Amino acid sequence: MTLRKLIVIVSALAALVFSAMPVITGARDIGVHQHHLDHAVLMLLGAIAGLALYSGSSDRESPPWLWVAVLCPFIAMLLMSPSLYSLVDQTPWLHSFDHIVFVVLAVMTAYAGQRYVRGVGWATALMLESMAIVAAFGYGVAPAVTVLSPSAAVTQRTEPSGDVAHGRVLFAQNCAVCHGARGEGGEGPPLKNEVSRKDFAQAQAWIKKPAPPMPALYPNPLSAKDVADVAAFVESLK
Amino acid sequence: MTGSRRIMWAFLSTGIAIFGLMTLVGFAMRIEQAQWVAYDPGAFYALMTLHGSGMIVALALCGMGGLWFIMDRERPMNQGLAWSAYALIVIGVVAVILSVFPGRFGAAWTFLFPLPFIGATWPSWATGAFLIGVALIMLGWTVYCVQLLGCVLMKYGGLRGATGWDLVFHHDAFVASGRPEPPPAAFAALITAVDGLFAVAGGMLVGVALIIHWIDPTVAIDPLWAKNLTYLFGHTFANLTIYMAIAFVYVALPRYANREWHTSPVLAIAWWGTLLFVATAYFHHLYMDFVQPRGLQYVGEVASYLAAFPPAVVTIFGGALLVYRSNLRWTMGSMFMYAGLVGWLIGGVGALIDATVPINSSLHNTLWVPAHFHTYLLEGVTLFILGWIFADLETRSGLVSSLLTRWMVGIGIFGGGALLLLGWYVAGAASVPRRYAMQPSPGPAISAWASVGAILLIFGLVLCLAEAVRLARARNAEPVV
Repeated sequence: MTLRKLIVIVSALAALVFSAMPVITGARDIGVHQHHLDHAVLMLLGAIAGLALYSGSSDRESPPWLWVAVLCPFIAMLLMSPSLYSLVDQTPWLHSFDHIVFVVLAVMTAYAGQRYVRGVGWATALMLESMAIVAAFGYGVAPAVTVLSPSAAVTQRTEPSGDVAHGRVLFAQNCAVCHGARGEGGEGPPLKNEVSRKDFAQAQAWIKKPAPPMPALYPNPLSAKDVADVAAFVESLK
Repeated sequence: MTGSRRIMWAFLSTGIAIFGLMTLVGFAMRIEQAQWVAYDPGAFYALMTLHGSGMIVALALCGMGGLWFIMDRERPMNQGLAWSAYALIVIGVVAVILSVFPGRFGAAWTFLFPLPFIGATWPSWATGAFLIGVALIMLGWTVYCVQLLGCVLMKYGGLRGATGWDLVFHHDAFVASGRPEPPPAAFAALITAVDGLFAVAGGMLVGVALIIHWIDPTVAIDPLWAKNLTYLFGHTFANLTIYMAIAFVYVALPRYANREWHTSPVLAIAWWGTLLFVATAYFHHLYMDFVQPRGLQYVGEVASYLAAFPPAVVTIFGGALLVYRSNLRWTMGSMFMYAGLVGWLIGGVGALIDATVPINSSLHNTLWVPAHFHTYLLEGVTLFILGWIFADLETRSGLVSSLLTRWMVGIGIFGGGALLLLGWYVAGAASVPRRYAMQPSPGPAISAWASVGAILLIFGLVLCLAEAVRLARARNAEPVV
């Protein structure tokens, strides 16, 4: 037996055993990150088998094989959709079948690449494998975000404490040209019901340090007291 | 016309047509920033999306066609695959155009997730059309890169031969063996194929993830991960347009100078820098993302220098030596080729300044960024492409353009182009932010001057087109290129 045949047999057997793990262990509800990495291992074994499977040499292109080599990684990424994971996770035999599909796709990616032009299979196999590994770090996986509960958000809201009447005058002088006399919007965004988007403290912080194209009006011409009054007026707009 | 030449011209003419359309879109953006006209900011961002993605694809199409033709002469390739790549890209472009007209998709191709889905002012189908369009473009690009890789592997005996390994490390034995060295254009092809596939792996992955998220919004995506992959593909793809176009200089400029451009070990090593580092230079786009691992920021700075500097120096120095005392024939073709080297140098230096961390912290979100990439795309890549087109037309027609025409084109494209570009550099130095429909002062005043430059540039391009049509209609000689 040649080394090449041995590599094909060993990698194919390993891939088969690994594919059957859901049936053997009955594992369910695997996390997306782990699931992607499992598939990366399966596809690595499949790619090794695919590369070893072809021993010929090529002095001309075999165009149909290029399509197989290019489309298989694309299909694999579609099948690595976390939406499908939640489906196959609950049925071990379906999960194992899903694994076999990934192995076949990897074998085809590498083998077809080699059949197209010898050497190209390495590139397509590496492409597939790198996609499978990198997928584990963001495809269906997102960093935890700390979100305040609605009740916490309510209790932490700061209530307006400025002079609304004075704020109205300052608003007409400095803000109305962009936001409209009643905050209905114009060149700048509308400010009606701004209270639902920013509390009093946030509104003051924004006026003090706005993002372009809104101009900075603090500390000149608006003082800290003026900013509080304008924020109070803006919070009153309905 | 032979089949391979027909393929080249299909890519070139489609690319030039898209380029012309996108030039008008860019002009519409510039005069809006100059406050000569006023329209809804949402329309501005939709136009910016179309201009950015359309221009890159237009230049890539031109580069792909020319490079395919050059490599096909080295080792004939299957024409059906080239046509398939072309068809996929054209269908993708149509889908992207539909997403903007009438969809008004305005997230730009550089969007940061979750932008296309949350806070969108366009319908969901427009997001889908854009994502599917870009996926088709990437699929066409993948087919092209795989075919190009197959070509260099077959022609030069695998990766070792294609990289010129023996030429560098076993030089005497290599020369004694009589084996042909890969020509300089083959290095451009190898880098395009290898780095193109590396980049498109990332692009395809994030593209599929976004399409899946569009179908099923419960599928989570890590924003930092998505941004890394978006720029891995986008930055590398944009950079490869110049490396594809450099092949035109390697092939055409020696013909004007009546000299040969040989592959030296220094040239091979310089291109290895690009091969290894061009796909990791994109980290400089994430300098402002403070959650990015710090080590990658250092990699971004070093890779930016190593990917761009060596081949630029070797090529520009080689080009200068090639022309020196050669009695070069100054025609439209040679003029564009040589001027393109200058534009590449200026744009490249601008890019390296921007890729330097302490400077980037000041310039990152300013118009300095569009200044440098417009320099090497407009006064580098575009000029190489125009040079290649005129080299072919001049050879086949046996005609050259008059001195007056060359002066007028020069004033339009170089003079107008310089004024347009200076607008971005000056505004960038004055901290005018980029990607803004309405710029704070002094943006509008500078944009007005830049718009005058844009008018001159368009005049030069139109003149160029008219001259190209004149030469194309007069062609009577057998092609030599």
